[in-house]
Amino acid sequence: MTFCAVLLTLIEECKRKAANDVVEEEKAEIEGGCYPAGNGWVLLLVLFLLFAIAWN
Amino acid sequence: MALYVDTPAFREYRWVPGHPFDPLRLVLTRDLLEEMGLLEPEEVVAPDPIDDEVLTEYHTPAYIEAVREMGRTGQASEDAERFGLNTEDDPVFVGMHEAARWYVAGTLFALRLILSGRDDHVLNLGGGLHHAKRSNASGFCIYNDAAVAIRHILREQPQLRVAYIDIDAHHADGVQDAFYADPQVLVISFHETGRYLFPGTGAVNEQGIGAGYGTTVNVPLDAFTEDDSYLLALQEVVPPLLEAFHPDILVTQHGADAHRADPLSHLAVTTAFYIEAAKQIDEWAHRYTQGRWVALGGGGYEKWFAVPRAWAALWAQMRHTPLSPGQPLPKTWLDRWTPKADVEPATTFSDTYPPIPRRSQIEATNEMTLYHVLSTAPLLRGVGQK
Repeated sequence: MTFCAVLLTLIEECKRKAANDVVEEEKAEIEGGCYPAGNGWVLLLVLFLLFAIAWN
Repeated sequence: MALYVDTPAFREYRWVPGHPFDPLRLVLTRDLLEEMGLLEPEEVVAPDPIDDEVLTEYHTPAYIEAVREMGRTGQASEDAERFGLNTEDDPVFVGMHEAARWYVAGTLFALRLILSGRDDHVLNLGGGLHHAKRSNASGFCIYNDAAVAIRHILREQPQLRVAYIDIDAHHADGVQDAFYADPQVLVISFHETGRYLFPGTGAVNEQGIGAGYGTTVNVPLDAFTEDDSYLLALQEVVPPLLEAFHPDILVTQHGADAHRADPLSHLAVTTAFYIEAAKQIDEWAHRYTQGRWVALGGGGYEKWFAVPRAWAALWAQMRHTPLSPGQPLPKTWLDRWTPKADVEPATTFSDTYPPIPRRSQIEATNEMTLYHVLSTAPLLRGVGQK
């Protein structure tokens, strides 16, 4: 019983830490002004497409 | 007149250099209030000291002895971890027993002032250490001042009913534990959901046990909750519960770590929220407890501008000279502290931030939580009412 309780607590703690990492990342993106994640890649892709069109 | 509990001993609760919990917050807040002309010498009172016996109202003698001994030497004992000490959050420091005991003394003193009828609003910004457990330290908290002080006055006046409201970003787990089976203490905690944040507890279905069933209420808010959504939660949840519970005294915990600039949580309120929340709580104190209100400090880790402004707003409301968001910070105060600060300075009691991208989704999640809280609260279904 005690072992199970400890195991469950550890699992819960791991789940919370993983969720915390995700939300920390979102916080950094919001405060950094690059929300949602991936905006930078989208911008690069658009620029690449524009460049390709202009090249042709 | 409201009273402000303070003593130089409150500045001794210093963990280790660089630790997020810094008593400098108390210095900054008091200095801000004095510069604004909002704190007169006759409003400040020093607490009476207490002896260790009082701490046993909640804490075990073994734990108190361990804190006293480790605090005497500054060295962790072999079993320090068993008491939640010698950890990253709660390292050992010289004088920790006495420093933590002063915060308890402050909260007990505040409650006594109210019950003696000397005053109806008393503020102890050193208090609010809501994570401390019966036999271990937790989350920067050594002794649970609210739990000890409330238990002590309940022993003296067993007929009292106490409503405790906590707006710290973290769940009030220590206070909840202390009164989980106690029908005379209503514990309402608003906090960032434990899905992401320490201590991980504080779900809606934690509602008390035995005779205390219904007198624990948890409102876990989604990450990035902003002012309007948080204020809606306060307004929807608190009045019906106080109406049903009929408290004699209100104890509130005002951790300022729900502020958007706080580095340890993910809530996103501004200073304007703290001005409005203080106004609401003041109104509830007058409506439900004949004005009897003890307010405590708590968390808050953006110590330079977020915490002093939030706590100054609270005190201003307690003395019924409320602040407005556009009010500027005194130049003298800014000149003194801005060069030392490691964050962008604020110049007024308002904050301007870009909007939270998922605002509507977060508000909808919180509304679902409110529905869940209100539709399942035993107190609102007649259980535990006076």
